[in-house]
Amino acid sequence: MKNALRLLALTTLALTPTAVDGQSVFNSAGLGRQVEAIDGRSRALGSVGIGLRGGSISPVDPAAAAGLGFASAVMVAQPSWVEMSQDGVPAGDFTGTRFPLLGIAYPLLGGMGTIHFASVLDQGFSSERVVSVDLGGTSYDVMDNFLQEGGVSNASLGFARSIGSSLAVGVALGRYTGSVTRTLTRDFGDLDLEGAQPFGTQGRWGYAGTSVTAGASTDIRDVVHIAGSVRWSSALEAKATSGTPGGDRSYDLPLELRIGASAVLAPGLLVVASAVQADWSDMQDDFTTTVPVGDASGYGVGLELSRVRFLGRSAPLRVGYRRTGLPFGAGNDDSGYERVFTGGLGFALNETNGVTLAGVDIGIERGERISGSFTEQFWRATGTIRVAGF
Amino acid sequence: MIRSNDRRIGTRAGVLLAAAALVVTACGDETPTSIGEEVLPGAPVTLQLEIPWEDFGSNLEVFGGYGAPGDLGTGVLANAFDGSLNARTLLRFGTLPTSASVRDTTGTTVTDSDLTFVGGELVAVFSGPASSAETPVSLTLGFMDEAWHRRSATWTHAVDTLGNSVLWSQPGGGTVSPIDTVTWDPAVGDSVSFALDSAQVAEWDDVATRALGARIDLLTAGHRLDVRSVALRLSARPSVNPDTLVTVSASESGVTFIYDPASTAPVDGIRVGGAPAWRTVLDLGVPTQLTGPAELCAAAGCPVTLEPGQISFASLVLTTRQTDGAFQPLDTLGLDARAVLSRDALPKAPLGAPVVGSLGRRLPAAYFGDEAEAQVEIPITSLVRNILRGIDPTTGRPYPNSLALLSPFEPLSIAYGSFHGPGTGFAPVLKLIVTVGPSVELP
Repeated sequence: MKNALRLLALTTLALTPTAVDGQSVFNSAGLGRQVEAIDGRSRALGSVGIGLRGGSISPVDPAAAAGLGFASAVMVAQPSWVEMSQDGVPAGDFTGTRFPLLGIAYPLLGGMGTIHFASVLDQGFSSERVVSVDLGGTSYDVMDNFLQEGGVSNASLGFARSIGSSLAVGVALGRYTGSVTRTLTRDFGDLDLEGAQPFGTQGRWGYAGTSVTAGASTDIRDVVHIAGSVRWSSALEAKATSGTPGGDRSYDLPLELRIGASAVLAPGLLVVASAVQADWSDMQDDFTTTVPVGDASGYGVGLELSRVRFLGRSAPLRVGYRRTGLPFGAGNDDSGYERVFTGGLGFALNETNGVTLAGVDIGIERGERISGSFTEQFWRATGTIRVAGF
Repeated sequence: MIRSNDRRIGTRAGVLLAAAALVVTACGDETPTSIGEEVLPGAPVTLQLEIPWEDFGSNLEVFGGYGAPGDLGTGVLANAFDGSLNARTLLRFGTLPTSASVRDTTGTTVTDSDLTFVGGELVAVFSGPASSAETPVSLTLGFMDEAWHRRSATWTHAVDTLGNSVLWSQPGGGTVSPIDTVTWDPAVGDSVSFALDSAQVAEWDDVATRALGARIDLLTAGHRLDVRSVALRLSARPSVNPDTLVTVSASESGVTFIYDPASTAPVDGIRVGGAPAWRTVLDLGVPTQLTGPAELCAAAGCPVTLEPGQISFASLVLTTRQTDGAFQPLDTLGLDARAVLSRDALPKAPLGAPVVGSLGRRLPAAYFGDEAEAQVEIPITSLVRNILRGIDPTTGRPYPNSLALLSPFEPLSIAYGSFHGPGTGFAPVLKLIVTVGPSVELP
């Protein structure tokens, strides 16, 4: 228990709000880019994070924690390398890293209690524009710099429990949190004006909201595993902090439905399929500016060779494909989509009597996001560290 | 047991390695740019306002008497310059050297304390740009016959301190005992030497004479010269090697100048500089609400309440004017501006830091002569922002709203700069570059 508390304290420290950078130009669209808090195994299999055999700590599959045999913890890191183009013309590249999921699970009341800290929306981006100003009859070019930092996260408490030998249920109560700071600066540095000072205006909003995620899973003859979950969210409230001239806002979050299954085709060969349905269109009316808002539904399929061993230890290989919509896009009427080919492997760092007490999962994705005239091609790696039995 | 420990250590090492790899990949974030300008907040409006004196300025006052010519450490010579200005340079030297390092007849360098002065020269170095002479002028050097006080001596007074006032026997430094008269040709060099014979050096070595010092007069009418420095160089015959001569120098212990007529405060203008120096103080009243122009009203809705952060640039625009010929700058003039921290304490009010750099704004001399009516901008953005802020949170008192215009060093020169004041048609103007923007909102 002491170890668990220590881990919880470290986890909380790691989540202290800090300035973040972004991984996608779509961070600037609408409320930002959706970040799914799923682990490296799910990423490698093209999954939307549900329906995989074996226990896991997953905010989108609350029943999955029931399959954990021991107290467990998971940390996920996700670096990306992105090349952007507009109308086929290269328009820049950038890199960024996120930690989309931190979670622990601990045996509780005959089941498994969980705590998740998960990313929801990534909003960091910067932009600039050249503006012509007329000073005393002469026109000068000045630079407007805009910087947005922040994002939306979800902290949740969950509980999962097996019922009978083949059914598991789970529920998680979450709280949306996070903040965003928007800063516009006009720089007069290029003007020959001694002592000129930049103009700046800034606003900061804190996010709040509630989510409830419920899910269930079942095993059929140890061959097929099926799981489903539903997440209901209250409106996401953005409250202006003291000194922010801008007003409060409220955004309707969609109901998310997820379903997934995995089946053993042959010993050591697993096929997985999953889908998510989340229509963000209702949020359209919440924006004061024109933002393409769409359906972030999608699906993914994959294969896992689970009996592969490396250095005498379990090292399953995975491949997959996934296609999901983007909730917010560029252009006028198309929110766009993301599609990725995935691959990866797991590696058991410590196996005792067939139980993995420590392991890593790596998912590598090559994909693209397309909306309007914008296309992003990216490599995305997702690394997960799992430890158990502490 | 040993195997179990090894496994545990291996597991921990593996987890640490994996964590380190993840952290390493987290380095080098670069923020992505946006999908277009439409996701940016509305563009602020930037415009330039020129506020007339009547709407921002008040209580303009000119104060004089800062410093004394003796603080400069340089001299001025003038003879009916611009028809009226006369100036003379008074100087004093310390004890003459009593020893020197010389080579004796064997070639060994020794310290000789038995020097015999056989003559010398007083060298005066002039500032070419700050002097009016372009043709040869005559100058004379003489021993002062009357005692004088370096910091308070004026054209009429040898001493003019609190409780002690002594007039010269005749205005202009009293009488002198002539030493030498020379001609300085600016085309040949920037210095001139007055010759001293052994008797004059001996007289200079006399304690009483040395205390009185000497005076340089300009004999040629119609000019003004700036004496940048003076040096007393003496030729001496050492006792250890009487066949040779060595040159030794005496250190200058005080230079000042006296002039006539003294300048008087202007009645309708701004004055900066001179010796003693002039300062001009004025109060700034920055408008807190704007009702125009139309472009501003269209962007922000009038009236617009000005916030400190909306002042992107502020400057006080002054217009130069022809300075009295006698005190007209012949070289560039430094102009500084500082906040007056306590106006009630004027003329001895403490001042804030320079707002235009430690050397001030350098203005061409022609701005106060042939090219008068030139506009000079003094950037005061921080001062204006503070005036709009009102109260200084660190002191709880209002930020100063008075501005002093002065020379970067006081005094810096006998010359001063003049600017048009209120009511002259070229009154100071407050130039503001204001940026007003819509508040940043969420999309």
